[in-house]
Amino acid sequence: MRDEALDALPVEGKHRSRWVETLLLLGRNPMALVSGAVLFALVVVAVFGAAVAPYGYNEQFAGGQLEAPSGQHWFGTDEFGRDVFSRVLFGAEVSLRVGLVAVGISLVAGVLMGLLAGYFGRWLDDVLMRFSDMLFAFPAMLMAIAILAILGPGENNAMIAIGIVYTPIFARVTRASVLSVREEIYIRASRASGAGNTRVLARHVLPNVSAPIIVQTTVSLAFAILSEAALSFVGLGTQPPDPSWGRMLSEGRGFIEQAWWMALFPGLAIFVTVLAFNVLGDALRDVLDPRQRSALSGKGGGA
Amino acid sequence: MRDEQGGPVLSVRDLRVAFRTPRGLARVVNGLSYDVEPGRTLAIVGESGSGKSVGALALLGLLPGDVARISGSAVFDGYELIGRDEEEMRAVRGAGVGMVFQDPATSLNPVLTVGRQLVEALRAHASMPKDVARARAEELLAEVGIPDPRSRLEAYPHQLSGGMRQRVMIAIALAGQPRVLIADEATTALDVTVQAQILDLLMRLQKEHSTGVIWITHDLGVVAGIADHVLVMYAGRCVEEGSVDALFERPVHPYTRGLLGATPVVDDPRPARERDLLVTMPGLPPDPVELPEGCAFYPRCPVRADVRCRTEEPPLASVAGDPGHRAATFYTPEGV
Repeated sequence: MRDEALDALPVEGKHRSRWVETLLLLGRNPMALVSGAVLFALVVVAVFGAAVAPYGYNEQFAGGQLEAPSGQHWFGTDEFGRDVFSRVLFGAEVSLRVGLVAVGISLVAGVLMGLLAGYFGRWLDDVLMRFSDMLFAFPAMLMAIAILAILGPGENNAMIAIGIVYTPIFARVTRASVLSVREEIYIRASRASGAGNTRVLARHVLPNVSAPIIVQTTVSLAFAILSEAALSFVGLGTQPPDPSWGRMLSEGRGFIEQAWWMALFPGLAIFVTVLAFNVLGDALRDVLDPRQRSALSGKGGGA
Repeated sequence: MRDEQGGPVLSVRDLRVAFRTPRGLARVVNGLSYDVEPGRTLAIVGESGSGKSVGALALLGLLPGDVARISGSAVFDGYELIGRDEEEMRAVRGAGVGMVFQDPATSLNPVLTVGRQLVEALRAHASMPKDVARARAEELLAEVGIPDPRSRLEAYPHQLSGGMRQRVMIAIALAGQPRVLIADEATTALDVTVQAQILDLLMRLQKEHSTGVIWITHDLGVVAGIADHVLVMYAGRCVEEGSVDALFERPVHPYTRGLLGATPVVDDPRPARERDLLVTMPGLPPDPVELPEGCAFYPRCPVRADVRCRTEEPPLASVAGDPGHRAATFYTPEGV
């Protein structure tokens, strides 16, 4: 413990917020940097895909069907003579949008459920968590397919279905953290100084459970993109002629012996994106864990 | 200024707290009564599990409502606290009765700056614009002796030492200008020099605001230094109470005598081999689910009498010739 004379000295360094510090630490991890760069490129492609792509996603080249990769068509062409490279670029937007919206749905619904269940406990906890267990009991894909069978196929419905399927995970992760944070003395102290439940939840509980939720978000983005690809693969997600990686994979399957490039490149795009989200999630977990954090920042323990 | 003449600001009568547990009802506080006078300090002393903290949390309605059963009365400034709902209790917490907790390392939210936590406590009771609250927060930090308060508002709790954090906690507790401050082992986690500074600070603030203080501790050294009145708890009951002088010089209850014997005396003038050995008390406090029928201290009591102590609970009775000094024991020490 330091003595008061030392306390009179100004605190060394700036008072950096936790999130700024997190980003700085993340920047020291090369894997995180690479995956961050990949995801940044993906976002750029998703936003500016139309400007970057050499051809339109539905542009057909008469007589150029099932052409092997060449200088003109980097990833070759498909059975209708469409440029696979352009379609992969356009597909990034679909995948990312479906992933973000779907995870957004499960994030909001799941975190809300977890916060209420964990903080108030008792019957509310039972009701919310048994409901979430019920959703969780179904295999994810089966559940998504069942929901789409009710709602009908399509991109928007796929987002809703994926969002519902991943909600219980967020509810569980949030509730588990809330249960431990709820017993912290600072929660009791803020209640003792007159804070109400809403304020305690928003100001004290939520910020202290955010780390595992952020990690779960990156991992879920990867799963959501995979799910979208899978749903489109079986024809329930994105509808033709819109380009979606899963859809392209499924179409390429029929031509795998004549035109391996039709399936390979969309598959690679899924692989790289999912890997990047997972690596980033791992790196975030390391950085956000306070125990590993002091080791990473090289300052040693320090209370 | 409030009316300060006459009467306690907080009056607790026959406070009882029990918890429903899978093994049965755990009776943790069993009929506690005391008064807190403005500007004076009541120390509640007892070992771990004697119910001292639970009794305080019950006053503020901070015990889980689904398992805690609270009865008795606690009148704060003419207002009954027991049986109020959450909304009504919120008005009292912080503004009427403030609380400082044991461990300053865990009683501040690690992800919020000191300034934000102070501003929040200020705005919990008085609607004031943010910049006014911020200026007031700076004043409060200065008042609790934090140097360079303006820049400390931007500090996160981990950037401050234990002593500084406890000063911040005190500032937060004082933000609502409470008339009663409950300090629950507030200096236990601090080292001795810092502890002395925090005690000085609290005593100064108490004098300035004429706050009534409930000091919950197991540290008799601290009690001797700051308290006016002392209440010794065992198994959720008051076993002895009185002025500091009465309790330290003429303890009656064998438990109090044991506690005092278990405190080392630093400046004992006698040579080492003639000093009294540090007394330890054998045994543990009784299980609150199965409190003994007679005196709760009976199983550990060195001076117990066989039949009466085991079957009859000794009442809290005045000690002859010592006004204000009461003890719950059948035992009368020699020479008193």
